[in-house]
Amino acid sequence: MEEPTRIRSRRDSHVSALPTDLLYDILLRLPGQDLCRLRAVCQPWRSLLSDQQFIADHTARHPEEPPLIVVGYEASSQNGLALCDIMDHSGRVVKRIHAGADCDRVMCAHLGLLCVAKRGSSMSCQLLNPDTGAVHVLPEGLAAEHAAHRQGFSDCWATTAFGLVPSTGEYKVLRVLHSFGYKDDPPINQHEMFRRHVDYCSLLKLYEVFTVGGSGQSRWRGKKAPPYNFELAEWNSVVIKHIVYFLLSDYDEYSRYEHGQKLVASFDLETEKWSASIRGPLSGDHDDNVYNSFMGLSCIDFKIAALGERLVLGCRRPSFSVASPSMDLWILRDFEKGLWVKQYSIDTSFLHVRHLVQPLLVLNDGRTANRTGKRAFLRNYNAVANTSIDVLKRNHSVIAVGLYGGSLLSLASGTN
Amino acid sequence: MASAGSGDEKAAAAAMITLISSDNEKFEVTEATATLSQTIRHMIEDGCTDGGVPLPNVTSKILARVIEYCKKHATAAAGEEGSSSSFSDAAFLEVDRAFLEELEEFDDAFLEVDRATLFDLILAANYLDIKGLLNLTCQKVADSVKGKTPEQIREMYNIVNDLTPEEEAEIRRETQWAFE
Repeated sequence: MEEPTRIRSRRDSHVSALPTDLLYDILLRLPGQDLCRLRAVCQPWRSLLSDQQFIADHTARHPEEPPLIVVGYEASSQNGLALCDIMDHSGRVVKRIHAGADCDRVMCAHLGLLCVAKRGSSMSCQLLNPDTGAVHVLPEGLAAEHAAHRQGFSDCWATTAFGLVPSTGEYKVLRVLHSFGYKDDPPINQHEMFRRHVDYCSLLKLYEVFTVGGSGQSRWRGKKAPPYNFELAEWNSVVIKHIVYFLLSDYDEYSRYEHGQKLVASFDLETEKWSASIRGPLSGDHDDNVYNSFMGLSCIDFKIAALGERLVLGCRRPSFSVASPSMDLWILRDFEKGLWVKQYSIDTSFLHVRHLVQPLLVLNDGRTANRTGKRAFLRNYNAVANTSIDVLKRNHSVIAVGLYGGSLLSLASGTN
Repeated sequence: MASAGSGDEKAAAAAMITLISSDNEKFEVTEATATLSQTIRHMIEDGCTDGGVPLPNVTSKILARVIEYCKKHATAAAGEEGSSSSFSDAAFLEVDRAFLEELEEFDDAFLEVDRATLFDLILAANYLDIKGLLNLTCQKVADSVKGKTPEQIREMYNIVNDLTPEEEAEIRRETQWAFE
């Protein structure tokens, strides 16, 4: 039998009378916001609540805490300093990351990482972990396979997407390089130059992949061009697990959309292969005629997004075709078969802009966070109660919006 | 087992266990009640409960409360076993539900104690390894902390603030939103 461990007076309600493992268990039960505040109670609580193991246990224990949202800016274009804000689902900024000499523009955000670039130099970018401040600089310059294009792409720009490959635990970055090819083939006159700017699809493009944290000789590797045209942009592509999905450029939001048109394709970061393209949703319900009501055809805005681990297409009918414009959210159930199921319909009459709302996330209770255009606002939409609240209204130039993989506790643990 | 069944009233004697508090008070409880404590269950399995189980970490006042809890919940556990084997109709489920509600009311009333007693109950539940009681009491403390300011918590639980003013200011600056 053990010796009596402590003799205490009955009036002793000092919390330190509890062994650390019991205090640990008690504090683990509290929501993240309470815990961030409780770091200011005393030194031992501060250490415990900043402990990596505690934070991991807390995250595992509270799957119900809504994910954080990261909003990335182009720092030099507006308020000068903010690179990104990480906010909770009510729009409260829980952490602001400031721009530095090497990073002043967020190119894309995914999981707990940001891909950031120097202003005016999308070829020089890095992955940033806002939790730890850790930075992984991606090499500049073209892939060896693209050496022949060096001159034509000396003045190019890049767009990126990245994801985690589960089989190796490594991040891979896909980038698309764009060039007008001025150097090789100087424009004859102003008209020609203008035409090239307008004729976006005639841009020269190169496709490259980089493995982060791979072997020491990691480098950009050239990939064959896909058999379709697409734009790898924040508003046009989304990463789910290790797959980058994107809308095809053969469709554009001002052109006519016909049922069954090829609309979506993907790139698998694991196998590094392009998928075949699949058709957009076919509306089988009574709304079908609405899609076709405008002169037998219709203009529908499409936006692509991830809701949980599912691919979603937000389809918004133009406001002149229906009394109350709304956006339907179609969930992709089966990529091979191109099977889409309409899950939500969101009232978008509050939007006085032509821009399409991009659905950002849907919580289990039907709440949706959206953003629209570059002059961003985020709006939490409750699909069940048909109400919405503004989360963020900002005139900043918002470049990227994504879910943030980290937790409140890890963000505020003072490591950054 | 060697130690069991030494007397003539085997069944009745084997079902009773004597618990001895730190201030030497003896409590006689049924085995079903006592074995809600994993610590005591192991002792019974090892056959070392003859002559009573000394609990030098638990006062008579706290042990009496712990036993009160175990008695109530042992009955509940017995009820559940009975239900799965014999009844499954709606009427029985209704009885079951009423019983669970009663148990919840019991738990709520049970937790109406001062903080020192609550801490003693946590320590006893931890020492005796009574999962349900430990969960109940820890949750009570967690609920009492929820939504409170650091100052309120220091006062409630006599915690000395050993952070320097600079450190405290830094924490508040880092997580200003959490204080709003």
